[in-house]
Amino acid sequence: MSDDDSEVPIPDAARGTIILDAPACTSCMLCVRECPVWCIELTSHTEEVDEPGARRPRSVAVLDSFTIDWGLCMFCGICVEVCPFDALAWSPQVEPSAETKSDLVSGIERLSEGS
Amino acid sequence: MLVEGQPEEWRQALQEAIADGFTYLDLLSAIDREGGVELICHLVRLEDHRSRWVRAFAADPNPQAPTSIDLLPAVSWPEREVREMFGVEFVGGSPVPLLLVDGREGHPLRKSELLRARQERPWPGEAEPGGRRARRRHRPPGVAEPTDSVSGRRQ
Repeated sequence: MSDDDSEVPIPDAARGTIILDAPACTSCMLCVRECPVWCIELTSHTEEVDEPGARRPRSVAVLDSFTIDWGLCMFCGICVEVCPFDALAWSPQVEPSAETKSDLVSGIERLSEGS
Repeated sequence: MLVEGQPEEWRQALQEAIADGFTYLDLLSAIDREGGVELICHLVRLEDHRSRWVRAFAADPNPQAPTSIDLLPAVSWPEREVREMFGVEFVGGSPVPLLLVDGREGHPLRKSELLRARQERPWPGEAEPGGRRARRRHRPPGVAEPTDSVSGRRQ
């Protein structure tokens, strides 16, 4: 500890909170299943996409909702590790406290901030 | 130095350690192993700060070992803790419960113990990508199989 009161900049690699790059998410469920504290919930549906030159339309899972409950999360980072498409990443921002427990649940919109 | 043995040798190993001057109880605890519980005790000799580990394996279904309260009164508390948390019976030891509420069944630090909160909340990982129906049911740790009783203890 130093006696200097000046602010120390937060390094870019700081593990503050976890952010979501929703377009990169394929709804594969790996993070949800690996989470030791069950803090991630994900819903998705299947859509058929026509691709030029393809014989049949391709089935693609589309992300409907993605929530992380910061009241349960222990910031272990296993979800970031297992994500095969780097849709989850660490951010140096910090997760603010909340008035109610339900305010600690972040959806796609809040998880995408800063990504 | 490490002494390993059967539960019957546990008391004798502790007795020898105490006779060798290892009279300070640093730790008495247990580890849940496959097929039983491993008892561990760490004793320190205060004169030269050397220490000795004593280990013994108490096999299921009724893990037990002789008590050492008469050799080293300090083991009373950790023996009661191991008895409660791991279900190891210390023969001749204190049967008085330590932390758990009356009527609480099971031994919370055994891996066979089911986590009650997980029986009540559905696992979020059950859903399949794209909302498809699951071909086989995934089941995370600590969750009862459908055939398990809900008493909080795997049968």
